[in-house]
Amino acid sequence: MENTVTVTIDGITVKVKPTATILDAAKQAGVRIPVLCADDKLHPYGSCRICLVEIEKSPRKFTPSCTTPVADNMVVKTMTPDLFEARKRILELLLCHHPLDCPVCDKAGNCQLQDLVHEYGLGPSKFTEKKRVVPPNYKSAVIDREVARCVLCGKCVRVCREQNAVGELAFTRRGKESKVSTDFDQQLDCEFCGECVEICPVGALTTKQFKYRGRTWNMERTQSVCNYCGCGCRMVYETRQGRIVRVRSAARNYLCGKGRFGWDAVHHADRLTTPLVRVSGELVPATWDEALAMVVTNLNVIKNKRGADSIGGLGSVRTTNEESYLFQKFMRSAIGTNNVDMLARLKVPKGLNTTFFSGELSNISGHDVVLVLDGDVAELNPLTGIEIVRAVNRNYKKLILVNSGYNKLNRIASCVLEYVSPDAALADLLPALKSGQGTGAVADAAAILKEATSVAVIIPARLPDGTYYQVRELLSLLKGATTYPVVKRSNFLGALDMGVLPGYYPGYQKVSPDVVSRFASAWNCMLPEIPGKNALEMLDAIKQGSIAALYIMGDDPAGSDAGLKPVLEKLEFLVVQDIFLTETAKMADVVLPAVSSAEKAGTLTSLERRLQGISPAEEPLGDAQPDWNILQTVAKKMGSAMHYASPSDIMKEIRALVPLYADLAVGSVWPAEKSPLHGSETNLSLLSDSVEKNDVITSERLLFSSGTTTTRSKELTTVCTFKVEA
Amino acid sequence: MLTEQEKQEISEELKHCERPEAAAIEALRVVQKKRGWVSDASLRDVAAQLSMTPAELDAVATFYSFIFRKPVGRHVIALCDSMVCWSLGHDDLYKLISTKLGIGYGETTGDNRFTLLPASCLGACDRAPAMMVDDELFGPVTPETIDEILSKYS
Ligand code: SF4
Ligand code: SF4
Ligand code: SF4
Ligand code: FES
Repeated sequence: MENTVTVTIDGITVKVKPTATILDAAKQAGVRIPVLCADDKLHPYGSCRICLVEIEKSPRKFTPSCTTPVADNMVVKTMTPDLFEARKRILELLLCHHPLDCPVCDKAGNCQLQDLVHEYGLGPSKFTEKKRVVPPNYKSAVIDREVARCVLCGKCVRVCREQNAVGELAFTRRGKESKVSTDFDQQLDCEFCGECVEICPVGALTTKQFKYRGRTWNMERTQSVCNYCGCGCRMVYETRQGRIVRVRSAARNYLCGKGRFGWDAVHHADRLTTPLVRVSGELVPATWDEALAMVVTNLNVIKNKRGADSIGGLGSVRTTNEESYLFQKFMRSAIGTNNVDMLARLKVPKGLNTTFFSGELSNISGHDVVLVLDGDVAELNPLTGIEIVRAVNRNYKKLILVNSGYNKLNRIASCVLEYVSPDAALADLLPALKSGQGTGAVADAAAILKEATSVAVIIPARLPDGTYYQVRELLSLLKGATTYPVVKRSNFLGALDMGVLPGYYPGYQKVSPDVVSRFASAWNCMLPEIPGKNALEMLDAIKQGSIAALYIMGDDPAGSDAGLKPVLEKLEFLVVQDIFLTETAKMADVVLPAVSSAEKAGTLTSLERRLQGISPAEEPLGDAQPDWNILQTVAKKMGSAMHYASPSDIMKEIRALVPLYADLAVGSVWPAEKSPLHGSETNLSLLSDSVEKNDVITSERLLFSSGTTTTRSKELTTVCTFKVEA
Repeated sequence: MLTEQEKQEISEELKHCERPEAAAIEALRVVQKKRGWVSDASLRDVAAQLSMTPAELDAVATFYSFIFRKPVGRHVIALCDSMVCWSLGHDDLYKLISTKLGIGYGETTGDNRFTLLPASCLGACDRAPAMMVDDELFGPVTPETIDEILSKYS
């Protein structure tokens, strides 16, 4: 490491960057210094003084380690009798107003104040002051504020401002009157990410969801991944007696409100627990045997009578890679058609995974400039939004924002291009970049972009043809551009990778004689040679009567677009696998109950193309089964040979047949250049004027919506009508 | 709602600052100058103009004792109660003023003429005990001079 300084901490000598703090150096030396207000997510602050250390030859007796930079040959002691006493005094002062209501505090057992007091062993206090009484009238949705427990470390204020750019919380008043307030102490009206709850060292911020549901030492923990959007944040389910009671981030990473609070949809009363079959017009409960017999008979009849291509399959963005893989395999091998696709392709940018591959989100803050072409990005992909804020607030990078409205990104942007759409903005920005035309914000933006040696470009979720070419031109004009497409749906990329596409086998292997024969021999069956219909063509074919049966796994076309109801009504036979009785499921002839991502294992692929594993935290609800198992049972009954004991068996097969996944380790990103479609003109998105792919609407805010699942989260529905800014 | 003139004056202040929040105090003073104090509604409007949240701006407003978040009288008396003024007669001065005007700290006279507030260190220890009325500093204030000072304000 060039340019380092040498520091000795408690006798251990380390070399660190000159910009490191003493606290950083201590961490590197493996020495623990107690902290309350310092946090890796935040700028140094230095409010609590618990991290005091002694520096040899310093004129100061004690120095806070979290805010003091190292100096060459500094010799630091982190624990001496004097320091011990000093920290004890600080704790004593902190406790003099603290209510000490640990028995009813949800933080007990996981509270930094409690742990420190325990460690330093306080006796009776010299201070006889009355406890601070703060009226408990801070009622908010989702989050409880117990202001009296606050130790004024400022972490909630700072995380909300520095990391989230929301600024919902601030210290008001001064001295002993200081407290954390919202706008005029009203209810929280924010993103409800719960990051402030997570970062609070004490029980001053807790969640309603978890209140009196369990003690932190009594819980089992299951590592998993959020399945609400393409960011794929890692999280931990905390369960008590087999039921989830809380979700927290894994490894202290960010979670948005959906990830942290939206899991309760899993316990919603609407969950399907048994198969349903249509008997004289009504959906009635049935056994798996009855339901599957009905599926198999009808599909066989239609296939024999009208050919395999009269059956279509619509896959899902919520199912695992293994399930998506099995879905297309089922359609291709058991049914014998390439009619397999996803309607979610309507909601992704043209050029996704051909021209625009996403960089790793954590790299966004490393670019000189972030150019946001989709003002809604922080609502659609909350983690991407956080990384953009990090670039500005933590790394002091510049943000250029195209946005016709006003949201949190406006507050931190260096330059705002107020245009109704990205194409209008680009129509002015491109000439400004090429020949220096342009005035005002456009000229400013062009100047900033010209100076930058690396630019993060956030690609909008919708990218019509014209805009697509503008963006390509833009990229050719920028130095060091990396794209970050907005992909709202969680496992969209996984489903694409797994070949839920009418023209491609898994891994973007084009339907061609070679590929077909390879898969046919691997799967030991006959496979259709011609590409299938895409989702929109399937809908047309249904209207025209050439598709008579549809197999839908985990999607709700009728809920997304009521105009599709009459289309689906034309079907002779409709099978739906889902966890809820969606609008589409209500129309089905057979409904097969699937399990949520909290009840199954498998992998997901994030918008960064990162393979990540999910694990079950609960047993399947009622008779519900994982989608992969339902598919293989149906396939077997239709005469296909599928024998998978678990999703990892399926993954073995995927690795054998899909070069992109052959040796892709869980946690890694597959390299864009390895895709057969890299740089090609293929369009993996769909565009339609008539078919909408709305989110199942109940929510005013994109941030809290993600379709059928989030709308059934009790916590999220309490906040979903809150607006971004007044 | 801020008046056009207030908005104008705040934009003028913004021109001197690289980041809008740096103009927070000046912007609040623009409003206070016109209206005597800063109501929740005005604070919200100023915050919007500065791209801050109301909570963030309120943090600034409530930190400084010369930004008034409650209505005050026509004139504000700020009596220094810091160490030096306290040891040189703050308590007597407070008693005197409070008896004369019939108000304590935080209160306003019935005729709305004066509001009395404590101030921590006016930076005039050499003139202790010191006080300010509106923007003017007085000290040392004695029982002899107090009437004359107050009579200047109607
Ligand atoms: S929940 Fe999130 S947005 Fe709301 S106050 Fe806490 S940190 Fe800020
Ligand atoms: S509420 Fe928690 S995080 Fe916020 S200042 Fe108080 S103790 Fe710190
Ligand atoms: S940002 Fe996306 S993946 Fe992360 S917690 Fe939120 S919804 Fe889940
Ligand atoms: S951790 Fe250093 S002052 Fe709080």
